[in-house]
Amino acid sequence: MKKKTKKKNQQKKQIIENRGSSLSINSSWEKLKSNPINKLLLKFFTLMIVFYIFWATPFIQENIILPISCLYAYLAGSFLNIFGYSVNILNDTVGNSNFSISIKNGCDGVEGLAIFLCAILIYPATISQKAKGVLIGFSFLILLNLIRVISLFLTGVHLPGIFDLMHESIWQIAFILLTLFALLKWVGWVSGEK
Amino acid sequence: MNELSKFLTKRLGIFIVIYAAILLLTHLGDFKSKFSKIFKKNATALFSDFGSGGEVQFKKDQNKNDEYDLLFVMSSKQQKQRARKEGLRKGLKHVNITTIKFPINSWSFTGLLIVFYITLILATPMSWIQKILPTLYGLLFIYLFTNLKIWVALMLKFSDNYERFQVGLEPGILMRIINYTYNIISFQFFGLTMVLLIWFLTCFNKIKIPRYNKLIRI
Repeated sequence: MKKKTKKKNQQKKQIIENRGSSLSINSSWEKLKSNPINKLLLKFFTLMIVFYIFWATPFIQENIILPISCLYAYLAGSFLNIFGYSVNILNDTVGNSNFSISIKNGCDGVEGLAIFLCAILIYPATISQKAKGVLIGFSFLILLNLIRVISLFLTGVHLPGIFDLMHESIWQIAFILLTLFALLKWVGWVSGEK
Repeated sequence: MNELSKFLTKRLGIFIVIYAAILLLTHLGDFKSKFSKIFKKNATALFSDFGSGGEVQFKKDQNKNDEYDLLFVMSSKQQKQRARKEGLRKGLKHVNITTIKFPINSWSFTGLLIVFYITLILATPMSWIQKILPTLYGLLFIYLFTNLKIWVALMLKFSDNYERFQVGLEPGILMRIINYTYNIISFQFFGLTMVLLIWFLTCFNKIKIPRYNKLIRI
């Protein structure tokens, strides 16, 4: 009899403990969900996934990404030619007999633009504030990417030893960080207007 | 310059200084080769036996002209068995099998994500105690993400050579999904974006940014 009661008590305790842990998980989840920043992040994450799903399709790669890369190559090549580097431009490639670079995925700045656009879309602001943000932010990021392409070419020509470092470790991080910086500036501007 | 701009510029400056210092340390010392060894050890422990019969060896990439440091060498038990049978049938003492090899750069694959995340945490204005949990969460995420990338890469390569290895997926919708996933997650910027999101999720609430506190309560 005693054994049975003990067993029952143990079972009850186990059930209460299980409920307690599921309750705490639920409450943590609720807490996480109810936070406005996390709500924004969830929307942002969803939009970014949608972006990447489209971005990876051959159609988008061939019809949007490639022309953007070619345009960057054209602009960077034209700039370098003004300063006497005598480069040839062929599709997404800029170069001369010394050095050439191809503007592939990751160097076209499209992901930075996508991060910026997704964040602006989900953030509560008026249409005109969003439009101004997109206009100024996109101009900044496109210019930044052009500087990246030109500087990488110049690094390849003058300091080839640090090209990989500049390409992978410096510019990628700088680009994502400056995108974040531009975003926070925009959010600050929006909050100032409110 | 308003309060917000000052705050952002200061934090950006701190980030740059810390990031430059970490990069300098990793490039001057033997850090990258040690990191490569840890990466190799982990990959060997988790993926040397892959799926049903797949075998993967992780070797140091000997080619000094390229940017890679590790070589994935793939074979399978089924492939070896077939080769053995074929050898016996032909009366050969030795048989050769053709492996599939592909190189990776462990630093770009994972190291950069770790450095980026650690720098973000260090540059975030929070107490050291508050930094502990976000660091653990972030590193755990990067660890899982890295292993997912390796798994997807191996699955794709095995499936691409299904006839040879008899491992992985036969051509079909699942293989196309794997291929599609690989195209997205193998892209370095995707990893950096995910790391940034983790940082936002774990740290942003704890930062007191001028003007933002009231704004986020919308």
